[in-house]
Amino acid sequence: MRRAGAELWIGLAAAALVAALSLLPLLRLAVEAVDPELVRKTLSSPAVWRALGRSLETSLGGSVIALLLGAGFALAVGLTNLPARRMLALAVMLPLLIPSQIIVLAWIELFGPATRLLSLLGLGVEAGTTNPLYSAQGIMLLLGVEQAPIVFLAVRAALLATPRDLVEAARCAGAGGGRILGQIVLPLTLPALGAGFGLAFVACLGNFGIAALLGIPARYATLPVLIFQRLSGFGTSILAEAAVMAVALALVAGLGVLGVTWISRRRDSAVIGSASGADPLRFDLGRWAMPLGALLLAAALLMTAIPMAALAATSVTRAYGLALSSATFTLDHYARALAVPQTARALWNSLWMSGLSALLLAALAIPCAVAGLWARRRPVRRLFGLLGFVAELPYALPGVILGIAAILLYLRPLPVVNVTLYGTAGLIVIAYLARFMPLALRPVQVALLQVDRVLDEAAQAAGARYRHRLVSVAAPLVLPSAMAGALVVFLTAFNELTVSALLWSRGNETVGIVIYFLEEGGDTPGAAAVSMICVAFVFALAALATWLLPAPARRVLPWGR
Amino acid sequence: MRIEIDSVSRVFGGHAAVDGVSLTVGSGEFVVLLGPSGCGKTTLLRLIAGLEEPDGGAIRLDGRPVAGQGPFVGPGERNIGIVFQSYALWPHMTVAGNVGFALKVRGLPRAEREARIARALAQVGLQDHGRRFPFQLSGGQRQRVAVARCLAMSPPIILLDEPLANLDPNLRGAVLREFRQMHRELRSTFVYVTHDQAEAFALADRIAIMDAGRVIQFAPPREIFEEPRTAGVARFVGSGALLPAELLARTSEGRMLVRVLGHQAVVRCAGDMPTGSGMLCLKRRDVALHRTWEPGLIEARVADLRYQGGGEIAVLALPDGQEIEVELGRAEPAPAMGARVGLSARDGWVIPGAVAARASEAA
Ligand SMILES: Nc1ncnc2c1ncn2[C@@H]1O[C@H](COP(=O)(O)OP(=O)(O)OP(=O)(O)O)[C@@H](O)[C@H]1O
Ligand SMILES: [Mg+2]
Repeated sequence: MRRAGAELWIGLAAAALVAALSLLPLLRLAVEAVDPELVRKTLSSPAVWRALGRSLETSLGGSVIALLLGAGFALAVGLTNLPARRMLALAVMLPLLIPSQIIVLAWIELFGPATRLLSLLGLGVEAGTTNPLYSAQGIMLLLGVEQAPIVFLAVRAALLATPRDLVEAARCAGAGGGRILGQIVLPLTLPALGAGFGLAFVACLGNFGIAALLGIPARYATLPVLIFQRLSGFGTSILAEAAVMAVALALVAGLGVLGVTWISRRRDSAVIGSASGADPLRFDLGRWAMPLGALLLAAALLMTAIPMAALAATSVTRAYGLALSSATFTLDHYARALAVPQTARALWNSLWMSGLSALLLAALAIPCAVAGLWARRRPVRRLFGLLGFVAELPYALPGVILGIAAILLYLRPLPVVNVTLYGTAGLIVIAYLARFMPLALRPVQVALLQVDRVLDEAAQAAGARYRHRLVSVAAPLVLPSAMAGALVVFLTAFNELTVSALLWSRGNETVGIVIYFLEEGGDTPGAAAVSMICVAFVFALAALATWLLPAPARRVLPWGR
Repeated sequence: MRIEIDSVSRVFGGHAAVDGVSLTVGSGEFVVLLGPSGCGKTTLLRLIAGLEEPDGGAIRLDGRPVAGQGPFVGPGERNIGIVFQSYALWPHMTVAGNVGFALKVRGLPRAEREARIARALAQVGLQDHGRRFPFQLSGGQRQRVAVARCLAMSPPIILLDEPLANLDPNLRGAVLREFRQMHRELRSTFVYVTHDQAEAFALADRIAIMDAGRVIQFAPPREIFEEPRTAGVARFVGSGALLPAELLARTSEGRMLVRVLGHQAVVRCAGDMPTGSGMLCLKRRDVALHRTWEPGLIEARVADLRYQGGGEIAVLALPDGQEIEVELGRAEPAPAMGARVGLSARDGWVIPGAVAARASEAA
């Protein structure tokens, strides 16, 4: 039976690869952290507890703000007749495309001198006083802005999935708009609100860029920042302790992940009836529609677009501290930043590392999805179900956890080949593969579920070998989705900071690292210039891909729905 | 409560889903809207409910204008109960919560609310299920909850949109009987949408046959079956043949001499039917079989023979390819397969043919 042989062989290889990438580092981390003596020593440090407390505090605060912003905008866009709702939705989702370290820089510049934006409102920061963003509240605010799109998308999807019948039945029962909102529509979106809150919370816990750029100047370190500071201060000698801290963070995040899973599996939240694909309610705001719409649009633009404009202004103003005018305009910062070999190298590094990761993951996702979903044997399907869950972990859990785990696993030379990956670009690529695998795998699985298995069975009946069917039946059908998944991986990895902050070494810097150190070193205009280059590149690529991808695959992109 | 629909139209993006429909449903009447998929039944029902606003025409309930004349009256103020095809049960409320929602909206005191909920649930045989959630019920039970929710308000008008479509075929017969009984007891006005003829004929006092947004016939089931107004209705409701006929002369009130495929017969027709050309609708019991064909009879061939319901049935192919079934007498020996036989018309119904179907029909 050579056919069954190929199926088994390809399936096992795919499974082994996923396990090696995702499971092995986490197991290695767990092994390191079970030593009771070590746990006692680490947890006896008040700094660790303080950092954990701060992580919880900022994450809760940040996800509450994200919930208010995301749900508020989703309800406004979904349930009212505000003007320019589409533009509003786009403005709210903008933070999805801009990495958090750049959003932080942009917000700092919002209070900064180049545009004097806030001084116009009387809110400007006087020279010599500290920017109010360097505080716990500042971190929470920016975490909230960063995560608002997650909640927005969850609530928006729930509103669109609400069957129109349910609202019409309430209207026939005589219920007015307020009662329908409070007793029908909101209860039905409650699971989405809960899931959105949980996702935002877990994402906030893992955030590094915002917490580091705002927290370090304020001497307010969250757990990921503390781990980073200890590692950069003491090097790998502190690794065991860092592992315990990472596991502590993983446990808290794990609770959040479990909460999200529980909410989305609850049976009474399963809606009976067909989704309308249209918004269930449309409140007529009357003469309030115009002013309210303008207010909300201004608020949404204030979240990202206006700070980005301030950052752009800083990047073209001759000296920091001056206001932008025709006299102070200059492109020197761009020329200066690119002239530094480190910056050019980092741009190239980020480009090839994330490009390679995206391609490898797309190539791995297809056989993995096929082996899991089209397996004839039940145990094989279950094995892949389990692997799918394992593959989610490095992405769902905070990035520092994977970072520490990868260092632990690859610090020593690999057996047999005797190559040390620690300190090389290879380690960063391997970490990217583990961390972003779900982003590539999910779209392919979704696409494959929509393909009728009959197509495969027909090819099988025609005598095609497994390998042949994989290449000529399954792969072409899911290729657009795999490409869209690869694009999401590329865009996410290109701007990545958390994992590379732990794994970079001289010569292997990423753009995220370079921006971070430029800002930390006080070269704000330089950081602004590199940020603008990154954002322009990402937007151009996203726009080009959205335009080139076929419609069904476009849905994979968060902004494509 | 009487429902008057007066040349009502509803247009979606240039396409009229309901196109100038006029219809009066008497108080306490059971009316079924019957027609093929996409003909506008649901839209008409939603117009009556107030879930759609007409683009033209007017609707009155017991003489009170609710749409098209004066201010639009929303669904909450029309005093209607509605059962959706999907049942539209609120998943986050218990069965009792679903049934009592409208009572709560009206601000009824708790004790009365509970009494009414209990009564409505008892009416559909779900007394003990008040505390369950919809996801804990079977499909049939969900359908009953939807009916109970509609009954709780004792509305004078009850609208049902294909309430049996999602039910097991075994359950349908029982539920149909319950609907009839419910109608007899409540004396509410029922408007019931379906595309299933058997359901329509089993339930209706009158059936409105719809096609492409128009009502093409509105009459009691017997009349719909025996005197279809257009070829479309005839094809939609009954097995039989439609043959081109020359309408020769009126013989008496409601009868006419026609020639069809070389055969002459006196058949039924509408009182105002002009002579000329038209169509003859022939059903199984309208024709008599002759063993051999001779001039003056309709020529036919035996295409199939089968035994059904205590008698032998011959399926006869007419020259134009249409088929008609004839029941053979008990003692009669069956003709051979493929044999050439003759048919004569004992009766039949004349339809104005070749002429376009006549537009909507008022009651
Ligand atoms: N909200 C709407 N927007 C646009 N077109 C609509 C809408 N509702 C109905 N239509 C169109 O109006 C026509 C009539 O629809 P309707 O739902 O009333 O048909 P129906 O007779 O109930 O069909 P079915 O038996 O399939 O339920 C259809 O062509 C449908 O596509
Ligand atoms: Mg319908």
